Amino acid sequence: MNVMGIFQWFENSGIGTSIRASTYDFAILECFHLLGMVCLLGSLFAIDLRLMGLGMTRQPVAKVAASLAPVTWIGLCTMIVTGLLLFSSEAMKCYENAAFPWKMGCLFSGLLLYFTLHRWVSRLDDARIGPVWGKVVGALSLALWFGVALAGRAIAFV
Amino acid sequence: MTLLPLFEWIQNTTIGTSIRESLVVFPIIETVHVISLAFSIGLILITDLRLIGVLMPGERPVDVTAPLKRWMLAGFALMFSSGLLLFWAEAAKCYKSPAFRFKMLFLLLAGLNALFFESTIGRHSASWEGMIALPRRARFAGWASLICWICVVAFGRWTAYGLN
Amino acid sequence: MKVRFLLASVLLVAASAVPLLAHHSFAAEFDDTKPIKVSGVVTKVEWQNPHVWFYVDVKGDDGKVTNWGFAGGAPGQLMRRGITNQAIKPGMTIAVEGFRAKDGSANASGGRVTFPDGHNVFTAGSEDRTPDQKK
Repeated sequence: MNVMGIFQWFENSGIGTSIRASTYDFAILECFHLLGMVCLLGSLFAIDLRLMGLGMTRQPVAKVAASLAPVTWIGLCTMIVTGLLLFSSEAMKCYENAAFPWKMGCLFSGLLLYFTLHRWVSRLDDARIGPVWGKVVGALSLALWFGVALAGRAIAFV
Repeated sequence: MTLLPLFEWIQNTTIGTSIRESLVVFPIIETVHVISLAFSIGLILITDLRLIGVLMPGERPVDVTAPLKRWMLAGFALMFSSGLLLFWAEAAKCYKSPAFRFKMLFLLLAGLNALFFESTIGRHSASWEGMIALPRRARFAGWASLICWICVVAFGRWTAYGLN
Repeated sequence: MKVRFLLASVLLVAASAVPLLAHHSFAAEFDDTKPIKVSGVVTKVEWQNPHVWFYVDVKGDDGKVTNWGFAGGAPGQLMRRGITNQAIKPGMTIAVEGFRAKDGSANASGGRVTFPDGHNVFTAGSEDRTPDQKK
């Protein structure tokens, strides 16, 4: 699989080229990317705290997770769409950047966790979660998603 | 009267200069700033969404805010201290940036909104049991907070483009 | 009373922003379809975060001297490539390659700096490359 070819395809795409040529598009997309991150990290922070037995402990895990899920979804979708667009405008820079694979690694792991273990545990009754699973899944989720943010910031500095 | 000389002085102090010319300190401070704002403003987002009535409508606002308060405050502490250090290193550039001034304006408004809410109608919020649609002033405070913080984030990001 | 104070402080901060809108320039973005290569004498160096800036007096074909500003990476990025804050100093004659600013000002990204003895260093930030690295 020609990885560089994939990155080049994004770089040479019509939308990537047009964002690169525009004065304001990139900046506007970055603002929405950041606002999406506020929604995503805020809601996941509250849910994962609850999984670990902290934060909104008066409510069952399932209720907290279900209430906040729409906020997580809006954040996630915003970040993925803006992320793809931003990526298209500078795919080759990302290809050459040492922090980018770490960001993508954490992102794909975070998504995988979110749609499997995290989804399963956060729908269980509090009693069935047990003392360990909630803490493990919550901590792992926080570590991965904050890892995405950290690696994302590192792109500008490595 | 221009305050530029004052901000240039701040920027050129030993601490300001060493942060600005640092190899790893500046990147770390900036990273702390971005990540702490993400989860602290994210938690405010949750409490604001309750105030305007779209999130957890069955819960009292105080039951949404109180459990998250210490995390919010920890995030805020990180956000403000890192922000202060970044400002210290680039005070003159910030002063000259319109985006930064708008950021500070909305930060001030967000703070005043919170203060106003807490000291007036918010004091009665423990009695809002089972209220799905909260009093109008509570909803207004929620909307005002949302808009102000969104502007803080957006203008904060935009500041980076004006600072050469 | 509280409301009046609030209103006054809001208006004060907003009013102070207005005069600066006229001077706002959006020079931080560079156009990768407009490469540039010039040489001249370094007049000023700002070795700081988030971007290193160095300024060069460039003599145009018409004999007129323009002071160009070049933006590079952060001090930490450059250090990791072995480029210290002693690398570029005022008074040096250097050749710089990069991409012009989108707003047409005398600014560019400074991706590669070549010294009189022929050796060159890669001074680009993470968002930019030298012209020969494109595609």
